[in-house]
Amino acid sequence: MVTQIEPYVMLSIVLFVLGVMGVLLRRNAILIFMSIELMLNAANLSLVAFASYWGQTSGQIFVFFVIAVAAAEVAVGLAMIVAIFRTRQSINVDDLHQMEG
Amino acid sequence: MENLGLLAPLVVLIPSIGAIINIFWGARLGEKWVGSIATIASALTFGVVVLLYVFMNYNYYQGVNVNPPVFESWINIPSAGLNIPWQQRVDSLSVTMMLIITGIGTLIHVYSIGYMHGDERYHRYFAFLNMFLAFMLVLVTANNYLVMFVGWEGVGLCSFLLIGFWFDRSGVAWRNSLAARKAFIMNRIGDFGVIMSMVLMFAVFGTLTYYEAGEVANPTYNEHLVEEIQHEAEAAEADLATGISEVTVGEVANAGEHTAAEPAPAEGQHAAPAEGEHETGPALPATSNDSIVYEDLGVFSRAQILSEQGGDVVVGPFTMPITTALTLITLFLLLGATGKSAQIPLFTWLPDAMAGPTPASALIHAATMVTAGVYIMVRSNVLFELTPTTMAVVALVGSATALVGGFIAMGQWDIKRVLAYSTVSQLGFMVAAVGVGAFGAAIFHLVTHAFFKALLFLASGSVIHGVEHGHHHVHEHGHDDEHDDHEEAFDPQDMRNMGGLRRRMPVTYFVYLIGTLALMGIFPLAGFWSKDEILADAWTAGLQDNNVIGYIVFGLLLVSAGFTAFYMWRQIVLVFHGKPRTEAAGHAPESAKMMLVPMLVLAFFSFFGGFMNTPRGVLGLEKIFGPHELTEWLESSVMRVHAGEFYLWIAILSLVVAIGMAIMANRIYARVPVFNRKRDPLEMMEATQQMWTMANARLYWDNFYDRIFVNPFRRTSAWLATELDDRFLHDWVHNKVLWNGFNAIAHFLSRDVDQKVVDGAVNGAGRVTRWGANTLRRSQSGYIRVYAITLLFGVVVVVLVLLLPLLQRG
Amino acid sequence: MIDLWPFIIVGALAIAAAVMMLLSDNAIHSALSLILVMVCIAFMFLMLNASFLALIQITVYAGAIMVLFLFVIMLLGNAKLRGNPKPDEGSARHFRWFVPLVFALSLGLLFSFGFVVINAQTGASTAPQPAPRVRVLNAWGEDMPVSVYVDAVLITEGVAQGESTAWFPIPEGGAQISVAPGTDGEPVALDMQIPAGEAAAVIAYGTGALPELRVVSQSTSTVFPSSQSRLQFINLSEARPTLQVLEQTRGFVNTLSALVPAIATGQLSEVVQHDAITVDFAIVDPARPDAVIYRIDNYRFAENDTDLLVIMDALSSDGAVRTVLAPFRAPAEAPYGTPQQVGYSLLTTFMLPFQVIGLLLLASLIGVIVLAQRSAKPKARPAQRRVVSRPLPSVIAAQVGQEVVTTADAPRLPDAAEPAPGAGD
Repeated sequence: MVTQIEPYVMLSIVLFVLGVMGVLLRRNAILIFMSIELMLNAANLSLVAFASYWGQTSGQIFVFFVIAVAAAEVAVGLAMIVAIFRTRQSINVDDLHQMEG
Repeated sequence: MENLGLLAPLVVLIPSIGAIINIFWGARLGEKWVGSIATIASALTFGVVVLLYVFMNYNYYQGVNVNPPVFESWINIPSAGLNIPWQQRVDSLSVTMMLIITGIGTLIHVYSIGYMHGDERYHRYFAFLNMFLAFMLVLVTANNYLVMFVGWEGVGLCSFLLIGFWFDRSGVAWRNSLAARKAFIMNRIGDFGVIMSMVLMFAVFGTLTYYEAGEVANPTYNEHLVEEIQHEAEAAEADLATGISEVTVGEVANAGEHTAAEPAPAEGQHAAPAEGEHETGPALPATSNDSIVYEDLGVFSRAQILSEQGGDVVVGPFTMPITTALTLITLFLLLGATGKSAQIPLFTWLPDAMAGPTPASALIHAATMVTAGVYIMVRSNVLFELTPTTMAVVALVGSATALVGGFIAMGQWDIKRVLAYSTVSQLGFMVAAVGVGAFGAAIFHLVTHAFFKALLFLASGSVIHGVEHGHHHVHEHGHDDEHDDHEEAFDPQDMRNMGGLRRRMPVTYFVYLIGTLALMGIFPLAGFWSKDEILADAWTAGLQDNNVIGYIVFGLLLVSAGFTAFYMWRQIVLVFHGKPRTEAAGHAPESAKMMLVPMLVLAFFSFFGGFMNTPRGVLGLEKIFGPHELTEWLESSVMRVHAGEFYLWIAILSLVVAIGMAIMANRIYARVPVFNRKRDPLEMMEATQQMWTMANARLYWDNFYDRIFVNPFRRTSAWLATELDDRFLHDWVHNKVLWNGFNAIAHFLSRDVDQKVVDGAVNGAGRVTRWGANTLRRSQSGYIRVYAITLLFGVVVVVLVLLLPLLQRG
Repeated sequence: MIDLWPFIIVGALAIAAAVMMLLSDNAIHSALSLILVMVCIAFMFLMLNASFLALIQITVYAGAIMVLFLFVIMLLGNAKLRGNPKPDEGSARHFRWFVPLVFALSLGLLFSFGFVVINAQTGASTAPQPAPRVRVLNAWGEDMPVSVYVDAVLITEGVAQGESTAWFPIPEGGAQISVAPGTDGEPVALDMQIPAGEAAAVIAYGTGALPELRVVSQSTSTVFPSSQSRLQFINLSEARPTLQVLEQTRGFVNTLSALVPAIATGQLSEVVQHDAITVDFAIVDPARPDAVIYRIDNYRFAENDTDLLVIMDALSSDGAVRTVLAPFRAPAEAPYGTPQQVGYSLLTTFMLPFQVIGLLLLASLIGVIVLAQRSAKPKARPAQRRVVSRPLPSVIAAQVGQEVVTTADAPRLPDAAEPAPGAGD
């Protein structure tokens, strides 16, 4: 049982913001993906912290699901990156703007 | 045996099937098949009715209700408390009617096979006949007024169809169609009465059913019956004890002999448990309705109870004494009866209805359908008995109709028209009998009249047939002569074109004579007994109840009996005696056997039919035929029937009147062998000229109706058609107001609203959308990071919005 | 209080690793830094009592997912991914405002969260305690089931003699517990108030017409090694003023030893720990230790549990009073954060989401296979078909031996050796 969770939440926020900055500032698709994983981990951390704080299992279950979804997402995402790299020989996300209106 | 009553639905079903077959496949089947199918259907129905008659005998004449399988709840609206089953009533009255309808119907079917031979709508005719039988049987077997009304309307329809059967015959097509229409419209006026009567009945009594299951129609009769049965049983036991093995069960329970081994009891009866030793035959009938609650009684018993209680009834917005309500109900029923049974004031359709084929006239407009009014009044005898006012009206209407019909018949030339007015007159006799409370006599006269009037019509058909054939014969042989005018003007029904047919058509003459004598009321033919009973009952009514109406009726009926003898003998003389007045009459052949056989059968019944109700004390005849058989038989279902007394002086008086008038007619018409073909001797005599003109002009009755109702109606409808409909509605409202107004509104809508406002809005929406899209598309750069930072921006905003209130609360 | 120093060290390490991941030009280095972050977070999970998730974090994230990343980097070639690719001219012109905005928004997010977390009085300084729990034990002498009410609201009925209700919460402000014999007997009421987070047992006992009630604290705050079980005795027997509980040890010679000191009527014994799995108990009068009053053979302990054993008077059917020992086992509860607990809720409450996640994984598996298949196909077919289906003017010219189209921009058959157009753009 944890009595104080502010430090955990603060750490989670810092990691989350770092992930956000990584997504926005890096042009390397793999790096962006890693930043997304960082954000997910930060969210997981705060989920676990709150779960422990309230003495409830649900938060942990949710983290379990997040990890499972993340695994699926990484598998698909990396497959797409490989596919894009095959066709364009580049994983610079700035090159991928064919969808502009 | 006790289940024979369940055959009742077949009575309606069999002729319906015949009609359906003939309607849909008749055209392909050919005359032989069509005629046989229709006739067999009719004969089968007659067979079923005979079985029903056997059942009635077995069941101590007690009526039963039969629920046909499919229609068990015909009209069932629980929320309105309305449950009218399609229920059939098999009792002595309805079986009597059924026997007449199917028996005479079958004979007329046979006759029609010959008579209608060669008609282009042969199958249709037989389909109509079968359909008529079905509806007529619905009418008489119904156990409530609504089902009865179905049959009532159905026979009206069939009557319309058959009167207008030759709606396209050259020269008379319009007359036939108009006659059909006239009959239909006149009957609708009567139907209004029936409907009003039913509505009132439902409002007052809450039911339309005649008798509920287990209800006793005539408790007094049943009491006597039970006593008699028990007495018989005791006597039989006593006989057994003394060693006499021959047991004769009394005439009331005579069916018991045949059914000694059959188990008890009949369905629908309140089983009054029989004595232990009396195990054969059906259970003894109940003797009263006291054990049945008001809600389980039929309309008649309810009427009796309410009438005994007195007091007021509430009918919709009106409150009236029960007597008033009953009087209204019966008066409306009388209106219906005057329509269907051709009484004053609605009788004028019946003579015109002779436009139809003669066998149809015989069946519908002489023997059966026109008696429906009498039947329904007899069926409602309880209601009529409760209302003396209506009874007086009925008596007066009936006797007046008898007089008027007889009078007009004396001045007609058309052979069928004479018979038609005779029918009106005889129906007047029946209605008058109802009016003086002689319900049994009314039915008795209905039965005998059905025999001899059907016979007369068939015979007249035979005469017409013969004259027509004779005319064709003459025409074929003498077509070199210039006879065109002659041919067009020739009317085979005009008695002036006949004469001397006695030698040409001996059988027809014979049966016609029997029919005429029966109708005149000559002893001992059928008409004598029935007419005499009506007269005697009228006299009794006057004598016993000190009722002036009875004497009036007696007088009027006696006079009309004289008229009857006169016009009928006039007809005999004009048609059969003397010498042929035209070549056609001279060459008329005797009709085919197919037509003669039914006439002979009917002649037999016209002769002997009266013995079914022989009064006591006439030459010991009742010992041969049994006294008052018909009355006793009817007593089980008609409450106020009573055996009429026999007055010798009345019988002699009426015989004298009839024979005297016949002799007078003979002297007037037979004296002049070949008189002026266009004019009647009476017309040429100063003293009788006016009277004869009145009779020939039918007392100006039709002209009166034309003046009062038809012409104003025509003028009104013409005015409505030209002025209101054409000028106002079509020319002004439709053309000016609606068309122009519509045009103006449409122009406004299309030019101003649609083109400017709607199109502008739609085009404007398109322009705005295009401009907005052009502006917004620039934001879609396609760079992921732009989308991501937009998302982040949103996240920050949402986080702030969510968290700031939390801050404040803290 | 958390262990501050380990937290600060691990947290700082996590942040530093995250920053390194962001700044590194080498994708391999970035991936390795991310693995470090994840290990740190797994450590945090351990500190938060989420031992099962910590293991999952290491195996799935650090193990499987990051290996996948490294594998892809290796597949694509680390050299090609090196460095932050230069922005093209268009994006550089468009996104001059981009980097400042990113920093501004990130800081905004950071500070808004941080401000709230630090300053908001969300009650975060003290952890909430679960509601106080109570269970009722039926040790009443009459062999009759009882009904239990809290503030006149029926909780359980038909609790037979020697049975216990499940734990049920009561309001923190205190409540009235009533025990009624049968289903509609006259209730015996007891007002009680216990602090949040605590637990208590209400024992119905006695041999009278109505049971008497007694409250015994059941708090499990005292920490024990989990493999041991705990025992506590209470003497509620009126018939025997003082009793002693003996434990029988089976061996070559059966020996009896006192388990707890003699307990007087109404007295609660110490909590004793016990290693054994099954044990034989006997209760005796201290004055006559050889006369066994009541015995239980082969009593099985539950691990990590505190059993309350009540010495009670039971009325037999002939009206005589017998002293018996009734064990009331505490309802078992799995400890927080263990695989057992997580798995239990996963397979009960969250069964449907669990299955849906499985389906999702299956779908992603199929999706990945499809993606890999499609990108592996070379574009060989269209070129071949063009030759067959649409003869070019040059081909026709070659066949007829005459120039058909002389214009220079007549389409030419692409050379098969050339790379497909557009692949390099």
